[in-house]
Amino acid sequence: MAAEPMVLAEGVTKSFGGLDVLKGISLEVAKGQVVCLIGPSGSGKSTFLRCINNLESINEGWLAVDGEMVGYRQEGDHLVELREKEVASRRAQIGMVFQHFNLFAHKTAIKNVMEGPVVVRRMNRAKARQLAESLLEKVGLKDKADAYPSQLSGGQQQRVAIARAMAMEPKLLLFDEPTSALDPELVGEVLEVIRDLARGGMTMIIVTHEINFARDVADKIVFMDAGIVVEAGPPDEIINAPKSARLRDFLTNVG
Amino acid sequence: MNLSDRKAAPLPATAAGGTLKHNWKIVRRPNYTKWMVDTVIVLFVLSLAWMSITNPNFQWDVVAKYSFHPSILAGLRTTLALTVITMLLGVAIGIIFSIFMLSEDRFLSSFAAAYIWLFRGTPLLVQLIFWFNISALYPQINIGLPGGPYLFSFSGNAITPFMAAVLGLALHEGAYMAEIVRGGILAVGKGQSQAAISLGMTRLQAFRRITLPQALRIIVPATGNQVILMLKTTSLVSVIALPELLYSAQNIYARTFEVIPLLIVASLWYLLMCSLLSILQYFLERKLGKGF
Repeated sequence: MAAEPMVLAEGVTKSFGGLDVLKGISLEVAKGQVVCLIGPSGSGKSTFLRCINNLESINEGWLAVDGEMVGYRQEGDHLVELREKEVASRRAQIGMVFQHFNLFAHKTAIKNVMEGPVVVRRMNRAKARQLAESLLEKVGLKDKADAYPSQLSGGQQQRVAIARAMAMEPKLLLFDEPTSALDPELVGEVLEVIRDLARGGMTMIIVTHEINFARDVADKIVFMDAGIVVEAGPPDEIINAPKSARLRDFLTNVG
Repeated sequence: MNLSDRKAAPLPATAAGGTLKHNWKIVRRPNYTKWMVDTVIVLFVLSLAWMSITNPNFQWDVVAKYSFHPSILAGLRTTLALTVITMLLGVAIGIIFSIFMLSEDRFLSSFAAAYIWLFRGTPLLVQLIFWFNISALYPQINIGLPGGPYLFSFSGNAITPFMAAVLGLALHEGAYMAEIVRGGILAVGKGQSQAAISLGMTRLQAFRRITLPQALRIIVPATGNQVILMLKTTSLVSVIALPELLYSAQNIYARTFEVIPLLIVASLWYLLMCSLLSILQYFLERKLGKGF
């Protein structure tokens, strides 16, 4: 392995109450790589994604982003839990895009994009506005800068959400089913923006049900089921030559 | 079929056999029932007003005489001060205890639940009398560690009626506000704070900048209701001899026996203040409603 991986997971487990959601996930994402996580609902894809930026904490295993363990600092043979400030400043370097967009409903599109730079990166407002304007232009929504989320379509909201995540200039972007809540005719515009980011060399992990999109954009596809990684590999192998019966079933059902 | 074909199609025929066109004059059907009901209501209200205005027992001249009486105005100031202070304290207590209630820490949420249970579950009148008589229960009040050392230590007699009133009203209000604020926070949805946290905000930043401003939109109408309620509830403190608006009016009619006119004086002031508060609430809601 030439470069240090952006994300490295070894035997990650997570349970909620008595329910084991992740049963030992191992995964490596290289810098600049686009990885798509596919699999049936409840397979643990979203939970794993949320573990990567510490929205959920893992129970066992090893999970590191850019060489730093998520949520902990290594001191000798101890793992010391990070302070909230430290956790937050690491999260600031990882962008996240949600299934339901989660745009700040009381702020206009441009204020949504400016919020992170101004509050977290302490950028001055004029500079943040400039940055936000250029990002909104990049996602094709310059003319919607002053619209509130409720005045935007789902596809437009998701594109603003991507611009908001990009405004933190993250080293890693996580997408949690970015098109699942969209009307079919709005899926394309969001996927196009994500494709653009992939071409720009952004490291991304994308949980998605869009198999064709995954085949196009991913360097690696990971198929998860019931809390484990069943198969992982380049798109051609995974989509065209699935080895396991479970993946074959899944691909038939997704169509 | 293209558009030019469609133009050739005839307009649909109406039931009368005529064709639709664009400049018909439309005859609206008069609503006789509504007129009748309206008329009855207007007459009823006018007759009530006439009865009240012409009734010498109302003593409108006495109402006019006492409307701006110095002790009425002093009472009005006390009522306003009580309302403002207790609502500010009540909202602050409400925000803190709603956060306790929503905390994952079972100890904090149980503590908050116990507070709300106690102060919502006992009559405000009882609480006011309790605080007023606190010196009988605790001749010496010590605040600090159990058994000492104490941070503050003072005689129970140091609790003035005004302090007793503020304590009683604010603690009672805090319990109600905690539930109102909790409802507001829950209505915002976890996705908002999660998006904020994933940008790298701390939980406090996310609460202050994202969750609370949106919760306020939901909290404000109910809080406006509470302010108006509080304005009138302050009249309960007349039982602990604190001269607010109602007690000032009572003080006067205890001497002059002009009971009804003085109650009207007090009521007119309450009505005026409620009207002003409603206007304030309208503008506040309009400001907070942006984006929804």
